[in-house]
Amino acid sequence: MISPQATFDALELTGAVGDIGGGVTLSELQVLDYLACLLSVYAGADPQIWGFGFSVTDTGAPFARELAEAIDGLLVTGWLVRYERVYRLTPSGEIELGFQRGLAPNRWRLRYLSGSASAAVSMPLPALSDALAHEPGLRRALEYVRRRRLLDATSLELVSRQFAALTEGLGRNPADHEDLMVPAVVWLTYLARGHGSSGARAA
Amino acid sequence: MSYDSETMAKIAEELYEVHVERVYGKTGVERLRSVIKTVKELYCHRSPQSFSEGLMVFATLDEKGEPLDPGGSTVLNGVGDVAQLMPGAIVQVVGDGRLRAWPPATAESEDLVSSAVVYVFFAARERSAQFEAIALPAGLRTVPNPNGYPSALAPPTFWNLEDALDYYAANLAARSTCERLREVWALDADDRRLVLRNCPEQVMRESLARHLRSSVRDAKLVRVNEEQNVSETEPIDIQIVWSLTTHIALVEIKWMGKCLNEGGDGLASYTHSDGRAREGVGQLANYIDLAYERSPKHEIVGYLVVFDARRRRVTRWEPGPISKEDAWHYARVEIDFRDSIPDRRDIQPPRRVFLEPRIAA
Repeated sequence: MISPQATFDALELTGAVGDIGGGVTLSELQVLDYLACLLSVYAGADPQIWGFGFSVTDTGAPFARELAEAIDGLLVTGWLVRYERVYRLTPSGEIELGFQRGLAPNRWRLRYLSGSASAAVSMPLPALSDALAHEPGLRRALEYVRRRRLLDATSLELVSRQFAALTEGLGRNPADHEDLMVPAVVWLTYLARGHGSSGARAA
Repeated sequence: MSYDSETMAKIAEELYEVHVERVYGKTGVERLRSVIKTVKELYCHRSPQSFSEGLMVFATLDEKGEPLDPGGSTVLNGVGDVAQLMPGAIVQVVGDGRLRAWPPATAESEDLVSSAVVYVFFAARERSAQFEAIALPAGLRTVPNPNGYPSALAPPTFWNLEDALDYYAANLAARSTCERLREVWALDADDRRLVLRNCPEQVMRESLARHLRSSVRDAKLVRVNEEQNVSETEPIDIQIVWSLTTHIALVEIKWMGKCLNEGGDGLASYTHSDGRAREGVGQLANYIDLAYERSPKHEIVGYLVVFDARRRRVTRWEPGPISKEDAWHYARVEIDFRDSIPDRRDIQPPRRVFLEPRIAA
């Protein structure tokens, strides 16, 4: 069965980011959804409630099978369209997205999906993907442990330390940021500059 | 405060997004998003340089705000109508995809900052002199553009590494437009770009890696050699992995020309010439072979990028007068690779990036 959460994520992220750069690729959608899930962790949520998990590919990219299946399903329904390597929302997809945004199970996800998409507005998608590759869980999975599953207890502890530092550095609690663009961009910049690498190495 | 918290706090101080949130709150962040999206879409239709009289894009905090008299404006139905804009414009993001545009002299950013989030692009003839910023009541917050793109909000993106390398050579490296690459030159009284600083390869590597990180789509983990060793003793300069594929690119960087000695008070005793570039070919072939051993199921392609800073008759630091013929002599002199380039499909033809002197040709 196709995950309804992943279906909504694919619609929302493609709608928000798809008009920048002519569309969004499968791997970019995977990165943005993983970032959204991490932003929910920053806000204090348990990643289990995201609805599906992420693993890491051989090349160190986050990947959720549910999201890939949801995208295939959205192509069949005609709510997404594929142009070569990128996906875009169709007019009927926009209508469906408007409907799904109103559904209670999706409403709480919007804040995190929107934070992730905002980061993609603020920084180039390739730079965002590259920055997130320095996230402790991805680094650890790729370089040291070769674990397939992301967001395990150790990775969560590592990233939670960074989020605690983010909260302290910004001088505001996650709940005070109604819009998560700012914490997302600050954290990604921190990762892009290589500051977050030592923790993953140590663990 | 921990080290990480302090680092995050310092980063936050640098970022315009943080200052917008501090000044305007959640609504300001929402408006900032609309403004940046609009600017990006505008630059998809017209290059930043085409706004030779500058560009200002703003969104009012109050959705119905009209800080400028609509009387002298033109309504555009979307960014697709952007061709109507003159060489300069002030653009309000109205909503529903519509824009309202005024001539550039209608207002200054200071007139708008109390009620709107404002982006400003200042045009200049020299790319290094133009800049963009977010205008705030306390003044302008520069939008950082370390790669030296025409606009940081309109970075080029590429599907192919070859295209990204060609863009880098022509637009960022040739005239040292990239901020980082500008640091590769030894300071010369007239900033003529004749002699390289000591150990220039690290700057070149970082400059190229920055560009690739920002511009190559679906490429993951562009790593510079501090983190990636093909073998313990011989690091490859940059490794690029494409997401969800088995493609790997290895980029080896070499440079040619003269550099300062370690003390910075004279030329180094050596000069890197064609032989140095030839060495790079052999090293690259070796790296590819080692990489195949580690990743036998991957498709690996190697690229040699040679930064060419050769200058004729530059024999000392602070070389004094030098003719344009001597400064530019090597612009058209290709590298003599002799028979060093192997007949292998996994090695791309070497790319020479001629670093131009700052002496009129």
